[in-house]
Amino acid sequence: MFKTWKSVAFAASAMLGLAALAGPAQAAWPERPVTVIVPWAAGGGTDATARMIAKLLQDELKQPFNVVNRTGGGGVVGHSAIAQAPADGYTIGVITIEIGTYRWLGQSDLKTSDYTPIALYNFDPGALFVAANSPVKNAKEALEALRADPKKFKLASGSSIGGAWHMAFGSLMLKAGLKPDQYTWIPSQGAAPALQELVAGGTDFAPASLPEAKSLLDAGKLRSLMVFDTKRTPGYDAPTSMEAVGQAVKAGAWRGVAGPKGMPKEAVETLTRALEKAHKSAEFRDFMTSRGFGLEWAAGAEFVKFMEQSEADCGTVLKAIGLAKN
Amino acid sequence: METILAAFALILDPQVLWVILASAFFGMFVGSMPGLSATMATALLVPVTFFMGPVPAIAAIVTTTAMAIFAGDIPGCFLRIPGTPASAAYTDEAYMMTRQGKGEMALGAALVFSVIGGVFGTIVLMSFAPALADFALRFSSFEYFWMALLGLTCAVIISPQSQLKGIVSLILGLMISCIGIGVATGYPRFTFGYFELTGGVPLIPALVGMFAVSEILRYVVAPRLAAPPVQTRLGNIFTGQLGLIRTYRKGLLRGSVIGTLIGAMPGAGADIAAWVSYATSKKFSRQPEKFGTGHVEGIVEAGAANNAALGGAWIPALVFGIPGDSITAIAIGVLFMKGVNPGPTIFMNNPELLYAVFLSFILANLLMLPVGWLAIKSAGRLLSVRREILMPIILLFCIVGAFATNNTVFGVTTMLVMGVIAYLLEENGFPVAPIILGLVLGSMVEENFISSMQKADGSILGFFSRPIAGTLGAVTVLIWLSPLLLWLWRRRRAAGASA
Amino acid sequence: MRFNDAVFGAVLIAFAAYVFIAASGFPTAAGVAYGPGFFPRLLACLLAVCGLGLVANGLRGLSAGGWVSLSPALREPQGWFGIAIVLGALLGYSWLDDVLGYHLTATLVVSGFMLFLRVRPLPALALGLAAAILTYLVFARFLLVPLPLGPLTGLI
Repeated sequence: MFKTWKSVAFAASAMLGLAALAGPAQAAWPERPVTVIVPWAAGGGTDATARMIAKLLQDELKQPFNVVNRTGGGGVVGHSAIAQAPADGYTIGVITIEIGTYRWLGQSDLKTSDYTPIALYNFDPGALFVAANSPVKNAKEALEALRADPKKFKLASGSSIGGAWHMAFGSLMLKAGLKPDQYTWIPSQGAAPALQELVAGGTDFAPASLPEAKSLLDAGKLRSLMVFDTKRTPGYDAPTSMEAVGQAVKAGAWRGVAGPKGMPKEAVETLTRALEKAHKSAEFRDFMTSRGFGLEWAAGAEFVKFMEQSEADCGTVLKAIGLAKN
Repeated sequence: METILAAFALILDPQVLWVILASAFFGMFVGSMPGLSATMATALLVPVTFFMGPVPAIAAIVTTTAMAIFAGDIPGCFLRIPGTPASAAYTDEAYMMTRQGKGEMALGAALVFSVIGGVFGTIVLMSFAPALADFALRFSSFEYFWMALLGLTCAVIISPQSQLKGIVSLILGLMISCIGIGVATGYPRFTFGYFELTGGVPLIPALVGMFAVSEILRYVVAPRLAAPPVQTRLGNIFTGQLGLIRTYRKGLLRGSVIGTLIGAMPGAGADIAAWVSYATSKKFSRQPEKFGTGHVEGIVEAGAANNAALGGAWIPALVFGIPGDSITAIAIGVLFMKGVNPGPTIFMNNPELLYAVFLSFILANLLMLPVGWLAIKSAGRLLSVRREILMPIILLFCIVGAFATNNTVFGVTTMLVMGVIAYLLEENGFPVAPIILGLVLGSMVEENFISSMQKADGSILGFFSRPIAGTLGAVTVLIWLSPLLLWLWRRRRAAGASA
Repeated sequence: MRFNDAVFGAVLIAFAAYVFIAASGFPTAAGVAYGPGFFPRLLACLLAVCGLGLVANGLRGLSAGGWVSLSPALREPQGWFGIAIVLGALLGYSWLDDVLGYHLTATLVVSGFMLFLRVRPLPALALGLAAAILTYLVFARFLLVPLPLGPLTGLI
């Protein structure tokens, strides 16, 4: 019954709307404001980059791009909202690496094919930390200690169970021949509480990104052992995993722009072009590098491939950690 | 000294002063609107501060939240609808006072003691931040677990009538907090395949539903019975406040200290501070039987505590970049956006920014007296509008507030369901406030229990093995056992006397 | 609507049983002793105990009240109608705001509610419209809350 109600109301409003819009012929996308859904909270890293992108798109396409935060459930709520939005090009969103984990963790059925991936714009490598008073001095010692006695140490997941940093640390362990499921992982709300727990002595090792740990590194409460990347992050003295333990790993968190499945071709093309221009602009580059966000680019089919690869990788790591349900 | 002068120059810049003044009114508005909380106000400010400099951005957040936490008391006094969760603990008490014609005393106390608590928290922040932050950083999941349990105990202490019914409400609140994907468990619980529920039941819509919607339901069921004329014409709100300061100086100090400390604990903020200090106020009062009957003592202590917590929350935030509450979590993000990293470097690189935070706090608290007075006066005027016009408009504000929590009508649905549940429960003598406490603390209890058990390899002894955790644990167990011990002691004495 | 404590207690016990059974079906990850089912089941047990206490209380006081008693206002249709109006307004809002847009839905909710409370039609309509426009300006324009525009999309 509710359905009929809704459709009657819809028909009525559609007529109202048609009468109003009947004037000019179909103009080019975007002809009205676009909503940008962010699955993470206002004030966080994803939110910050999304707002910058929205501003640049707005400057380029001359329509407001409004950032809307839809938080909760480790990003499931926001990612679902993007996938279920009307595919008219007027709702897009920022998606993050977690999209590749929900299916494995049994949290949601979301997958790459539920989206129209537009472009990848950022990658932040994870890094490994110990408290300043830890007996472990460098990454080599850390891995040796972990190998020698898996039951002795408590590892922070650095995020919720199966989150980005949890997987980043897990994939390094896999490369180095350690078995992630032999260890006790302590989950947390995010990087800040995980690092606090590490300083408080509740855990022995914690993964997070370098910028997230900057304040505590500066305070001399933490030591960074290595960054899970193939190149060093400027401004930090953490060695790459290759330099530290001889394992080339690139693991961390990524962010990209996507819309719901079946977006109009014209909108996708215009948006991709505008995003590419924004990504190349000095304003965006300055903003990203000065805040410690890594730049990355992949658009269209290339981004689809990247997402599928990421989803598969997430599955491998989550299985190794012992979290994958299927 | 030079940095302080530089900071003064930063704050006294006309643009910043303008931002502070505007934020003051914005904060008053947000706080007194049921459905908009201080945290949400900060989130709503993020896009606005995006294009501001760091000093006005921080000044805006500090001022808005200070005002909002006080202003949350205003609708509580007039309508029995708390404006923010931090007022929920003593809303019934304040409303009772207004019903008895002591509205100016309740509101005056809320205002004056908010200012005193706020200034106290700021002074602690200015003088002891590094030391306290070091202490706060020693808290691990064991300590948090005990803290959360102590918090839950408060619900039982302050239940006015039946403690059994208070406990039932608390358990229901804790159960509601189980809904969704937990951080520690990673499994979608009780979501019935509905993706919005994977995020859990949002606090603000639940709060609005349980207080505002249930109040509106009571009103429509019996317009004349449920809403006897409430005092809207107020006398001088400042009359007698000096006397209150003198009478309750101990409670005032205790509330301010507890508030600041709880604020400084990462993850616990003004909401919890208000609960705990309202409970300690009752526990240590000479007239605990008067609590819940329109007694100002608890408002003094808890009103000071929730504002003191705001300053406290900046302690770990500024020193280590670890947020003390949900407000500073957003504020750190805003600072980060400006290229300012909180932490020890802020003391070296941007000391003027540090003092700007302090000065904004002091300015905001001083500004609270006139602006708060104005807000109380105009609220009284607005609320003297006939109820049949007021109630629909309140309902609309609740709808918008519930929507704005996560930008979805799911908030409105949540509000509706919670409102019906609360209405039924209250009709049957179950207090509603403990549900909110359960909802606030539920995930804290569960997550910290699970991580602690994992860290201690399943041994319960782990909960007592660290000095702070052990102390907190012993206190909790003692409080829980105290009725039993008291009973045993009385029995022995009675036996001794009869022998 | 007041129920005897025994009725309420029984309902709580049934609810606790449901939670316990549902939570027993939650999977546990490898090597985790306390999975997603632990806390809900613990709470369900506590709730059941409280429920028993309420049943005991209720049976003791049964002679005084009876099983269910309606508050005086609910003996008249007016009271039930009022509840229906409020619930209808909220449900209506959550279904219609997407299609009709915020302005129209908010006016409907406020004016409709006012009409039920016997405010005269013209003031009710005017106040409803004013409230809708004012809240839209404050929340959508100033605070950037994405209130839906519905048919007004693209016009303002």
